[in-house]
Amino acid sequence: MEQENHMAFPVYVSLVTLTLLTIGSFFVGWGRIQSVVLALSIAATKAALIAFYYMRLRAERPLIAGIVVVGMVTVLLLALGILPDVALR
Amino acid sequence: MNGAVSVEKNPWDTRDTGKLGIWLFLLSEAMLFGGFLSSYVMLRLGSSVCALGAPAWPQAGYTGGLLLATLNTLVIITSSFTMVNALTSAKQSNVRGFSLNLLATILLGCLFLGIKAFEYTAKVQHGYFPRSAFIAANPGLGIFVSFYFGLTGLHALHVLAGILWNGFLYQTGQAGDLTDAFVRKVENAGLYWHFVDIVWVFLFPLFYLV
Repeated sequence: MEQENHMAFPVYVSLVTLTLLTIGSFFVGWGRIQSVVLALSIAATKAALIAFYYMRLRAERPLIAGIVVVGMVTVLLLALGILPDVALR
Repeated sequence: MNGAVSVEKNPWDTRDTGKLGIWLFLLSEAMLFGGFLSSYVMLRLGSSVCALGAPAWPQAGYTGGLLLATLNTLVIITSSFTMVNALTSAKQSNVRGFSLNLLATILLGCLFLGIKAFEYTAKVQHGYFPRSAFIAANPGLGIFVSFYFGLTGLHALHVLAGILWNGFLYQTGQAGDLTDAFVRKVENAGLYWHFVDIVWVFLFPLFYLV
């Protein structure tokens, strides 16, 4: 069992920085689509940092990684699968 | 036979069963929040009143709400950091470090809920709740407000569950016997707490910024 998480503080600083970046980019006044893409990209980066370093996904065995991949693919299907309903309305 | 000793990990090692169970539970939680968030995004995409890309909240009270949500984001991120430190301390059999960090995680969780309650009160005072006179006069915003209370409320319930879970571990850890089995319980509680953090990371921009 690994005793220390040396990346904990650098990841914490990154998460706080990315949060402030999210707020800062909001006041820049991008277009609607750009705002959504930027905000969700930053959120996805923060989620990846938490999952890989705080939840230690990078050191987990393949079975756990498989569970996460199944979850991500299913959520993406849920999210993208209903888009045609709006696009083709 | 080449003489090398092969040490193979037992795939049925029951010490990891708890962690596997937590990950499967988190998978089901991802489905729960993913389904709701997909519906919410579709609502915003198809709406002419609160289309995705700009805040859906009316101007009155918006800045205050954004400030509280930003503060809550920093609070929950910090609580994830203290949770990691609690686990590290538990692995090192550092009872004092474990107790202090887990207590900080619990208190930050309570602070998150306190700020959320304060924000809910402000929203209600502005009339931003389902079936209020304001919402009746602004058709189209009602379902957005319902999603807001539904999803942030569901998230708050998860935070409360995490506080209770961590509280139980804190109480148990006071005996000072940080065994491997106990450390695995802390690790599992940490996985849940970090997941709750990840959910908020997505709720924050979707409900307050775009």
